[in-house]
Parts: sequence; structure tokens; C-alpha cells
Amino acid sequence: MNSKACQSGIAFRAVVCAGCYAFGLLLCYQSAVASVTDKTADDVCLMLPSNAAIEARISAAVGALEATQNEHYRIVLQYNVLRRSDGTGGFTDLALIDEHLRDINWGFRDTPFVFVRIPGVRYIDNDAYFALDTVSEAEGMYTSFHTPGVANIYMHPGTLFNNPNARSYTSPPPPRRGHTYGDTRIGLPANIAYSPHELGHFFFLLHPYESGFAGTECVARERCDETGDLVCDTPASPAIFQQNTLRTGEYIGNAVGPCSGDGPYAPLTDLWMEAGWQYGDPGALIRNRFTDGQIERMRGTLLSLSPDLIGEDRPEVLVDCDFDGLDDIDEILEGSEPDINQDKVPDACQKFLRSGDLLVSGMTNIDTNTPRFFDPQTGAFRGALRTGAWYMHQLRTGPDGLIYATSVSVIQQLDPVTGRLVKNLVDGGPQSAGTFTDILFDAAGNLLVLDLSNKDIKRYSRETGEFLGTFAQVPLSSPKYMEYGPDGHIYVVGNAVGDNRVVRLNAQTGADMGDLVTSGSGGLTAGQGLVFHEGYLYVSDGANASVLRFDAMSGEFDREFVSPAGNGGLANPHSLRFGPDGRLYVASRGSNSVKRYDGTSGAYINEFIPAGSGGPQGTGTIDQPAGLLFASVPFATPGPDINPGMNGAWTNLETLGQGMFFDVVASQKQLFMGWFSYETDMGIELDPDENAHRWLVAIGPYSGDTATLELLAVDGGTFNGPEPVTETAVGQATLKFRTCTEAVFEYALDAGLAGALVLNRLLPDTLCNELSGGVTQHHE
Amino acid sequence: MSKRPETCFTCTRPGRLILLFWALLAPLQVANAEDFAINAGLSGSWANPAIPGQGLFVDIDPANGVVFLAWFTYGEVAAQAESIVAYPGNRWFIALGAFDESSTEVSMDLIETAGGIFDNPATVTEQTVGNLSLNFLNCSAAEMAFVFDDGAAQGEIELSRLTSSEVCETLIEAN
Repeated sequence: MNSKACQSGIAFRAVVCAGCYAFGLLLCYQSAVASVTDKTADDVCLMLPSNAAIEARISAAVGALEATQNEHYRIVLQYNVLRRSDGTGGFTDLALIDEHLRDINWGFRDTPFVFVRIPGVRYIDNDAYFALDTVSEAEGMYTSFHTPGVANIYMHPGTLFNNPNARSYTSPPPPRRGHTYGDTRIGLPANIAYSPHELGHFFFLLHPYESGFAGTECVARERCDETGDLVCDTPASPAIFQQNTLRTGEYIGNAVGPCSGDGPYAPLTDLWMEAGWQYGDPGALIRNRFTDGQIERMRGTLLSLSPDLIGEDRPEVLVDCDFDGLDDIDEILEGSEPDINQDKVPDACQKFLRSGDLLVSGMTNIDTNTPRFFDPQTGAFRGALRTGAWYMHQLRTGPDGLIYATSVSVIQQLDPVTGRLVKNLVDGGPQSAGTFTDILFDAAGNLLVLDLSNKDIKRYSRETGEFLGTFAQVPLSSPKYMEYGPDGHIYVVGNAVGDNRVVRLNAQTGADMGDLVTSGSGGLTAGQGLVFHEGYLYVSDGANASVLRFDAMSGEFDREFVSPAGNGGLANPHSLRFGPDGRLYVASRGSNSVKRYDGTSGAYINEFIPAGSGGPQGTGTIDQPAGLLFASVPFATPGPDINPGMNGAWTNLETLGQGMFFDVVASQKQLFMGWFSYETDMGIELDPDENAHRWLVAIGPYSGDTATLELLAVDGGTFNGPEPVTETAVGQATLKFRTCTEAVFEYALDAGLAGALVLNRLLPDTLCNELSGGVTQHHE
Repeated sequence: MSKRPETCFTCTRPGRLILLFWALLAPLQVANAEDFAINAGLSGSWANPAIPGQGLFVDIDPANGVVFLAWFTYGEVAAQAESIVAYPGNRWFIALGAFDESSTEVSMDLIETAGGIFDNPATVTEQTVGNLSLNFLNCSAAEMAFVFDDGAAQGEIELSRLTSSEVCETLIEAN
């Protein structure tokens, strides 16, 4: 027996594979992964090979699945961090473990599997395990720390077994059951596909292109259950990689299968268990699902090899992010709490994108590049979208409410509700697209995409991503951003030396309608971003670190709105946006920050998002910010009808120490509320000796799950006194109940403060569920 | 802590908001006092119409015997107080206490917070500044008594349910 025999397609057979075991497993592993490393030269995953006895048990379990079709399998994970014996080294960014957990639940969202973790991590301080030179060491470790009822995940700080490409080792059968990640990129947005892929191995899934364990699968697939990945609804695959697949997932290879009579491969490119693209490339994110056959095999593996994981040995782990005393996952599965992310992860634990949050995209190819979102009032980092891609120049909200992002020659479609990639909608490769720098939507809702390299605007279907032709040639040598003007036409700014103009294109025909701003007007040297606002056009100048203002209709230069001398350290400004507070926000690519200016005078206010922001969740920091977008987040599902059971105290878990009380007047379909809070620190220096108490009341009608409220400030009262009070309307708010214990409160004060708060019921619900007839009931 | 004026029980001229809610009140059907018990239907807003523009919001968890409330009122205004969000004379207190099912009265710690910033995760400090007791007479009437530890204020206030007591009545009848 040798590696060649293992790779020959008969290793799965019992007799031969017994030889593999006897001779040493590593040979099998290496041969099994050889075909993968040859094709991708990156990210090799290793696993214990199956054998006939194991396969017989899995098959029997799969055959008996009928009776357990509706089961949910809660798998308890124990995360272990490997360190040197002296306690040094090891995986340090523990926040990424939570991201990893969310990624695997996302990956398994259409399966019966739900993963939870034992709180905290277990440190294993052992030089041998820290080095992890051999498979036998890994299996020794697995055996030593095996715990019935628990799946052990080991976090290793580097590649495994002295193999520079080996990033994981999986052994499913107990007691040597375990799974080691040899990768510090776990949990990073660009690495999402990796996590469910590896957990698939933990339940004995193989790659669809696998040849090392059971032999190469024929395209004709007569023996699909005995070859390849042993699953019959995953077609034979040559392994997906950048040379045979578009970044949208469309297979363009022409390789022919290995068997006599085989035609070309027709693989499923969106399977988690497929091979990966170059790390960081948006093409690495096209993997997105398991097939039914793969889910059955995982279930069979669980029930036959590791029933203890769902048996009485499994420890109880309460997941109660909303503090209502009930297990959130139970509530999600029972339907009493919506699964906003559709991943069986307790939603209150996550920081989702809120309407009004400022999204920032960056122009780098580092591991952590992804759009991040920040509190619109404080600039505090709130979270990152779970989509890693490089060079994201611009972000836009589409007419469908989804977010569209440029990433070189790819347009990504992102869901603001889940915070995750929907799909790579466009791959401009077939159109020889160069660098997409901006997106608009035409009257039909299709995408108009600015291609810097080809100096044109391409049109793509928003539904399918299909190329619909070149919309316009842009008469600029370096077009950077574009906007619709107040006249409905499209304006594009250029930043090449001697060609610093803003040109106008007919929005219907794409025809050149001449310059709005002539080259060099007002000293424009390197135009970058542009935005129309209240009769003016504002253009950021990358060379002078300034913002110039022009008349929106005539194009006449008005003034230097943000001057180099008063720009607060602005460097290479890109996108600029006016916020809901009327202030101007500018992406300062050269200083890795976002600057904020007075919306009327242009005076510098502050560094709204400082360099280095974005770290607490382990997703890195903003780097070369270019795109800005104030988010608009639609609600995903209707909540319960508003009813008096919602009366009581509610609070936002991020701003404890303030909150709201609701009082529902059902007979009038009115909601009355009190909001007890404090003074803002925006534009005011708070007196530390004062408690700065402020409260507002609000009243308004409701329908279904939503109330529309007028916010009132009450003035003139004295403590417990009879003095008359005056009420002043100070803003508007909407209150939408997602459940009986969770609501979203969006407010806009006339003074310029605006935001959205996710509220949770402070005390347990007593009446709401009963009065609403359950969360699924809705009035319309 | 701000100096608090003495209490007043003879106040008139209610503000627009209070008038509005009196207009919204459903006809009160007071349950037989001997059948009455604290229940979740008491959660909501309570006020004295003679003390305009201030009152209590109450939340009741009968399963755990817990009452939590916020008292929206006023205090002194610092001379240089600036304000964007609302009136700088606003003050509020919270109170938390436990009750047993045989009682209609609950005694609570009266708590003042400080250090917060509007819609901001700034750390808030809490200080117990007195005691507040709330005695529910029925579904639409209650008596509140308060005393501040520093002696700045104490008093009693008769409270009425500002909105409908229908849920409370229904729960009483069901029991």
C-alpha cells in the first residue's frame, strides 16, 4: 500500500483501506488532498478517511432518516485554544470565535444542525500540541480531550503538520473526534466559506471533486454512491477555481470527465464543499449551500457515529441574548422569536445594521476588508458585514433595498437585514471590465456601472446580472464617481491631470451633454467624489484635500467649501455624503478615517470615524475608506399586532441606563410612551455635576406591528408641582415590534439627532403573546 | 442631587397631553376591592390630573413578583444648562421592588441615575436616593408615597390610570 494506491480510486474499499490504516494514515491524507493543492495551491483541508465499516453505519442511519425528518440537532461546541506550555502564543482574537460560530450556523441554516458553544474557551498549554507536527499527535490530543456530548474545536495559530497549506484536520469518529483549524483567519469576513466547509468534513462530507478516498467520480455518475464524494446529488466536479468559473458562480470550464464516454463536467459551483478561489477574491464567496444528499450524509454520520452529541451527555447550554429567561434557539425554532438572520442564531446577540448607520467600504485587499458600519451619532464601531471582498470602491442601496458594492470587476449584492452576501451579481470579466468605481440604477432598476478602466458605463440586469450593453462612453480619461443631478441626468467626475471636469450624460440615452464643471474650475485638480445637496454640487478634490462647491444648475464655482487649511487632516478624499443631521461626511482615504464638516459653513467638526476604528469584533479596522452609505434597512418579517401586553419597560441593550415605557390604548389604536434618557453630547459640553436627565413622551396611531409617533418635549413643570406645562413637538418616530420582546425604534429629532434602537422587553412577557395569538399572527 | 420642592396636591390647569388622555379613558369599571390583586394589566401610565405633565410608567411581572417603574418629573434648572434633546428641567427616577401575591402594596427603592448620554452607551451610575411605595386600590386607582433620604422631599400622591384598565379588569374577573 502506498499513496498511489490510496489515490487510485479503490482506497475506500474495505480491504485496501485497511492497508491504509495499517501503513499510516498520513499517506492517505496527503494523497487525498494532492489533487486539491495542485489546483488551488491554497487552503488544504485534511481529514481522516472513511472506510467500509463506517460507510455501512452511515448508510444504515441515512436509510432510517424518514422517522426523524423534523428533528433539530443542537450541537454543543467546545472551543479549545492551543498555546505553548508556558501559556504563550495561540489564537488571541477570541471575538472571532463568535463570528466563526455565526458563520457555521449561517452555513448550516438549511440543515437540521444548530451549533452553540460552551461559554469561554479552554486553553490547552502543551508544546507538542502547539507545534502539532503529525496527525498522530492531533489524534492523541483528540482522544485525550474527548468528551461525550461535546464536539471539540481546536484553534491552532498556524498551518498543520509542517505542511504550509494544511489549514485543518478533521477526525469525525469518537473517541478520536476533533477538528483543528490551523488558521488565524477564522471568523474573518473574507473566510466565511471556510468555516461551514470544514464543519462539513466533521460530519464526513467529502469534496465533490474528491478522488483520493473513493476514486474519481465519472461525469456519467453510474457509481455516484461509491465514488467521488459518495453523494449522488453532487455532480462530478473538476474542482472549482478561478480558471474555470466566473465570480458569479457560472462554470465556464470545458474539461471532460475521466471516464470512458464522459462529456464535459457540469458541477454545482455554489456548494460549501467545493474548492475555493484565491483568498480575498470575491470569487471565494460563491459557495453557499449543502445539497439534500450532503445533509442526509451529515445526519447519518451524526446518528451513527456520534449520537452522544445529541444524547443525554450533551451539556445544557442556555442561549439567552435577550434576557427573557428563555432559550433563544428554542424560541426561534418554535417560532416565538423571528430568526432575522435565518441561521438559528439568537439575533439579539448580533449587532445588525440599522437604518441610519454609516457604512464604510475600503480600498484594500487585506484579510479584514469588508464594509463596516458605525453609529450615526457617535461614530462608534458597531459591526461589519459578513462579506469579504477586496477593493470596495462604492456602496449603494438599490431599489430592492439590497446593498450593491463594487469590488474591482465584480458587483456584490448584500442583504442589509442579514448583513451577508446574497451573491456576486455581476462579473465583468466577459466584458473585459477593469475597475468598477460606482453604481447607479436606471429608471427600470437595472444597474449602471462606471468602469474606470474602460471609461464607460455598463448596464446590467439587477435581476440576473446579465450584461445589457454599454450604456454610455464617458468622455473623461479617469472617471471616478457619478451621481444623478437635480435635473435627472447623470454627472460623472474625472480626476486625471488636465481633465478634471464634471460631465453630464443623458440619463435616457447616455449621450454626452457637455460639461457642468469645466476642467480645473475653482482649482479642481483631482476630482473624486461628488454629491448634490440643496442647490449645490460638492466635489472632493483628492490632490488638494479639499471640497469644492459649485452651483448645481450652472456649474459655476461657488467656493472652497472645505479648504486645505481647515480640513482637519483630510487626505485623498473620496466619497462624500450629507448625513441625516445635515452635516457633510467625507471618506478620507489617505488618513484611514471619515471626517465630518458643518453642512452649512464647511467648518471642520471632528474626525467622526478615527483611524483604527473597527476592531472590537475582530474584523480589523477601516483601511483606505472610499465608499460611504447611510444605511436603509427594511424590516424582514411582520411582527405581532400591537396590544396592551406590550405595556411596560423596554431598553436597548447597548445603552443600558435609559429606556422607554409603552402604554397601548387598544380602544383608540393609539400608543403612548415615555422615553427616559439624557442630554446629547453632540455639540454640547455636558456638565459633569448634572445628571443631564431628559425625557420625552410620544403618542400616535398604530396599525399592525407599527406605531407612528410624534415626539413631544414637556417644559415648565416643577417637581410634583401644579404649574402648567407646555408641550412642543420635537420630532417623529416609528416603533415596530418584531416580537413580543423585541422592537425597533427609529427616531428623528428636529434638532438633527436621528437613529434606530433595537429594544428588548426588560421584564419577561406576561400577556403579549397571549393577546397577539403568537408572533406569526398579523393583522393584514 | 437637585433640590426638590415640596409636594402639591391642589394643582389645576392640566396640559394638553393629560387632557388628551383623560379624553381617551374608557369608562372605569372598578373591580370589587376584595377580589383585587396586583396583575400584569396594571402595567402602563399613571398620573394625578392635578399635577400636570408628569407621572409614572409602571411595569409588572407577576410571575416573579416584581414591579419596575419610572417617575417622570422635574427638578431645578442649572443656570447655564443647555439642551438639544428636551427640557433641561426634566428629571426622572426609577424604582424597583418586590411584592407577594397576597398584597396590593409594594415598597421600592427609589433610584437616581447619572452619567448617561442620549442614545449613547456611556456608563450610567445608579444611586438609591429614597423609598417609594405604591398601593394599588383597584385597576384604576393607586396611592403613591415617597421619601428622599436627604430629606429634600416627601409626600403622597393619588394616582389614576391614564389609559384603559380593561386588561386588568379582565384578569381580575378571570381569577
